[in-house]
Amino acid sequence: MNRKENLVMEKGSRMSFVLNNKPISLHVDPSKRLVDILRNNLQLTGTKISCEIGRCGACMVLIDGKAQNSCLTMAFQCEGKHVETIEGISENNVDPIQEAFLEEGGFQCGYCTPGMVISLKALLNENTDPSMDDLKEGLTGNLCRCTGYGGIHRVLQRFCATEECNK
Amino acid sequence: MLLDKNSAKDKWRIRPDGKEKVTGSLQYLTDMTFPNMLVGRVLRSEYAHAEIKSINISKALQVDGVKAVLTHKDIPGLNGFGISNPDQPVFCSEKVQYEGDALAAIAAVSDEIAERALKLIEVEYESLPIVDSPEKALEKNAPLLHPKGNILHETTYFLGNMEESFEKCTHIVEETYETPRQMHTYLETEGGIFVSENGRLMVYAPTQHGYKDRMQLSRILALPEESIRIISSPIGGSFGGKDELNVQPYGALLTLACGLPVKMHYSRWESVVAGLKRHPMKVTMKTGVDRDGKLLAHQVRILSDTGAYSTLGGPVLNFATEHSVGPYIIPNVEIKGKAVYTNNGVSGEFRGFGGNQVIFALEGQMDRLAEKLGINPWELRRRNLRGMYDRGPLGQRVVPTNGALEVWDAIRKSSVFYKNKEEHQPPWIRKGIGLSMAMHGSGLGYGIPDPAGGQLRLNENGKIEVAFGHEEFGQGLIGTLEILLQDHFQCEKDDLEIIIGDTDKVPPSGSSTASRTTNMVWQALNRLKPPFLQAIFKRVTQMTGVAEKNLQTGPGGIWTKSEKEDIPSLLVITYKQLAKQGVDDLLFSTQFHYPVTPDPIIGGHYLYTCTSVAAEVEVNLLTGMVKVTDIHHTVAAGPVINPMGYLGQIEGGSIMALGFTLTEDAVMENGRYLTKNLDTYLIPTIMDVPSEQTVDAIEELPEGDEFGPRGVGEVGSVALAPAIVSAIHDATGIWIKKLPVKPEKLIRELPFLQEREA
Amino acid sequence: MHTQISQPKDLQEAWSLRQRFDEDGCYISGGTWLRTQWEAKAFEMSSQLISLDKLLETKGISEKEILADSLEISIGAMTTLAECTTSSIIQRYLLPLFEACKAIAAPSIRNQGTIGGNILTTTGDSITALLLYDTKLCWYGGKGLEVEPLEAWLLKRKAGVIKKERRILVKLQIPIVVSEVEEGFSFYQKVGRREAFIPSVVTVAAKWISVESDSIQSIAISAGGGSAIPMRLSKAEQVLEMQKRNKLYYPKIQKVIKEEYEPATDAFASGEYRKIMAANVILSEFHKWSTKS
Repeated sequence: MNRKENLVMEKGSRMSFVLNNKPISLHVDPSKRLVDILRNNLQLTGTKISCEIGRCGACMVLIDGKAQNSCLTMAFQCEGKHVETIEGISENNVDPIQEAFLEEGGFQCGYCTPGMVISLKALLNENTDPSMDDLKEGLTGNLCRCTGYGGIHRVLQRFCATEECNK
Repeated sequence: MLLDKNSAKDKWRIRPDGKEKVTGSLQYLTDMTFPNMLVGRVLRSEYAHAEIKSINISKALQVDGVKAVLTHKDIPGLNGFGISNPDQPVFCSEKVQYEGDALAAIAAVSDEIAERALKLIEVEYESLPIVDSPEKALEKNAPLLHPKGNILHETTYFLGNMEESFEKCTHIVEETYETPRQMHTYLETEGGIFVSENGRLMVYAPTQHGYKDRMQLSRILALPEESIRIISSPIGGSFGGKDELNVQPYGALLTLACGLPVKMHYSRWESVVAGLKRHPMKVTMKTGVDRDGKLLAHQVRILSDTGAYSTLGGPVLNFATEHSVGPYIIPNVEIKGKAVYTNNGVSGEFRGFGGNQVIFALEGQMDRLAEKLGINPWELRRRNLRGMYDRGPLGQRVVPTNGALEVWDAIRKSSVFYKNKEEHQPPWIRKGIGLSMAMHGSGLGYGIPDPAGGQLRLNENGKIEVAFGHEEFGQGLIGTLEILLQDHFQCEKDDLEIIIGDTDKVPPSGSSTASRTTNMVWQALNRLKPPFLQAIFKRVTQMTGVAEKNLQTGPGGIWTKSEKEDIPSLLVITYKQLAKQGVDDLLFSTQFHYPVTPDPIIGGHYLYTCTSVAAEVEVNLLTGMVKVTDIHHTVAAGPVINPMGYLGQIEGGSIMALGFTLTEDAVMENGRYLTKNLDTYLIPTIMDVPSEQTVDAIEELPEGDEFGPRGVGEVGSVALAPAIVSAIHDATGIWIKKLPVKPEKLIRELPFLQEREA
Repeated sequence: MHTQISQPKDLQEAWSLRQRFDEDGCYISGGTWLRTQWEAKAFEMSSQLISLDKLLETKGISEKEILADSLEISIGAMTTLAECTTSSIIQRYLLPLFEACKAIAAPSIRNQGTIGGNILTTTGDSITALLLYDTKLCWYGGKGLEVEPLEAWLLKRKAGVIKKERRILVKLQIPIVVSEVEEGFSFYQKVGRREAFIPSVVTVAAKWISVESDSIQSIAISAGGGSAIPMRLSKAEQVLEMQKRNKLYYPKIQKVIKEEYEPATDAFASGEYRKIMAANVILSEFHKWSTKS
């Protein structure tokens, strides 16, 4: 294989990654932001856009199971990885995390909610017995302007494994 | 009633729009795409204040992929917008007055091309001196920002005699309070899609009042209102900020110019620069009491920075003026307010509407006076509290309310007072508790058109359908309607169809603002239900012979009323069967006005809610940082219709106020924003808020009250700041008068060396 | 103009690309900081981004025994901040760095941002922690690894001797005396304008040991915060060295810290406030230690 070709990805290079458990291959600019690929190329608009500098969490996705801001992630950084969006999580059924948001009033306008769900999902992937502090720490990258985190605290109580939460 | 899931019982409902929101499948208007859609972008000013010498768009027009470049020359109608006064130009022509001013707009096939073309628009400016504070705007030789002068609006109110009454005071406190330029920070920035089809303009853009947008756009575009359709919900947060036009004039003009759909969606940076903020105010209060702690005199000066243009700067000042007396009886009052133009960002409508600023000042006065008198600050409030039948703050008649006394009393039971203050804490952590209260008017007030209305019908699909011109921006309107309708008709959710946010389908209902929506839909349904039921039952009787008096609505259709428990109700006819017989005569609509005081005080309110707040803080003397560890609210706003929505409004409003108090300020220097994104403009994270807030809802209304549930969209956000500041004083002995609290005011050098105060 | 991405597979290739692209080139690791700069229009995205993603030499955390009681810990520059917070080596031997990484940004940013990137901003919070040790930066500049003390590099950056770094930061080497870690004391504290996900206003860290008669020895103190390049507080260290635990004279040490610490100043926090806070936070830690029974 010609080394040079392997080395440099031109505009409109073919990018391959796994999106919501399905392999996908796209012609995109390798520096294109993942959030734009999802929203504009693929119409997966459950991933939201708000601050564009990773400070609000509205665009959160899972990359290889870990939370990552899709506004800070470029196409080439997804190559060969597993990307999961809110649509992927919602594919089969409402996840227990989503159920908790519904039942506890964990959202109002809903614009931050997909990102919140993703971040909590990522945390619970890694930590099966989280304390309330672990759970809150897991959501520090997600801003909510509507709820004042009241309903979100009630959501977290449900996933908290320590004694403080078993009142 | 302590409001939570348990006390709410079966009224704690999953939101009708919930599943779509948690799964991300809900399409916000900024998520939509259309075939051949163009991207719209706006050229903003390079200066906060300058004359425009020339605008040259020729290079931008030559860029491949650019479909339109528009300036002031391309506006067919009025080059201006503004809810109460359309003095903000769509495109500036002669001068720019703030950093967010628009000069041109571009539609192009991609964002990159639009961005490149924006840079090719050549604007020649001649800079003018920047008026970056209301004080500067009021100087004698200040540059004239508007033809009629630099004062947008003035208010005055007099009662009794100031000078004489101050002479009689035992204690007088005079202080100037300052509040920040708070940003709404809705997570969904301003945006929308504009489509021109079959001679009509379709506007898919969030707003709090579709019909007002339609009127404003028709004025700009010189098109009949009917040729414009506004689709405006769902909305990713608004808090007052999207009531005014934002992207709409640009998107509309661009799509009309190119004949293709145009999408606009502001970056956060553009949203900060062009969007509205809460009016920064300087409020000076001089307040005196006699030796028994009776308020004798209250003098108020309000200076409000309305920024470059009007929007609702006048009404916000009216509201601030009225609320600077609060729930207290004061025999001598003098209030003078000024809303002043500057070259700063435009201030406008924001949850609390001018109340937050003056309530912070007024409650601060009460605490300081109590300290001088040596009495408990809560006791001082009681001695001056209004009674059920007292007149309103500006002497106007108001609907009787005992709310002030009720919330005053209820908060004393808060668990905040029963905590052990001296937990195991390092010596530099100081704890304190603070209380405050407020009363808050709802509706737009005397002299301002405040129409409401709705429509109820059985539709062709056999659904009980309501239509309102209100919007869903997260507050839970759809859920509230569902609960109200199920209560009225005892039907299933599936029997209902709720229509909002589309001017082609809904009647005018006024704006979804001023804590008015819940009350207005409640009243509308009460008006619509009797004729609707009468018409339906009449029809059913004709069809089935069952007497009208024996009919009732229920799940799926019309049922017999059973008088004895052991005789079951029977389904007489389904809604669907009924609809098959025609629905034309089963449509009812109503138009009415928000309840208004009979006394001619412009902006004076008639319906009031009351609230009291207890806050607990920890001040870290090593750093000066304040942590709010507990918040309790009591709210007297009549019956709770939608508990999840009510609780959410109070909790959310409260934390917005926590940000207002501790971290939020859109800082401007020389007419430019320093805080351009969420890395420097700091709203609270989940770590910044207490893990639990309690909300005690006082639902009782005075006997004979016919106005029902008051809205609670704002009241949770108005009284927390003074409670936090009072708690900080309790913890440290330091009075804060400027928000957000600067930790520099609270830090102490080597605090662990000082003896702890007893 | 569209940006091209290169993903070189070894250091030499990365270096020669950087030379070839010259002013048009820019290395990128996680890219979380660069994106904020591009979006804020502080500078434009370079037309040639050289991703360091595939450079195996820049990855991983390891320990190597040097002498009986000493280790050298090596942290690849491309190690993500999240990896630093789950590393048992860092938690065991470099507690201040562990604490620092946990308090940088938010989980999602730490999954992407790297320790090398944090250092190359010259103001990152990890630097304040790393300055406590004789941390060495290992660079690749075309011919073999160049080793440079972190502090020396920071001083050069501060003086403006180097404006743009062309070399590739490969890894950090941190020598550790195991007994000092096991018996010694340390702290790391960061204060920002809110509780979480916040740039630092003041960041301080220190480590010391206390042997005979409870006196302070081998002390290191560092401070940074905001746009300030973190620094060692050598004068404060001198004043504290050999001081007895129960005889610390705080006002004097405070004075030295306030004189020595060069804080940033901006619209949100004054320099004077930051000086008071730095002294407060550092000395409160010594106070806690000295009053502990």
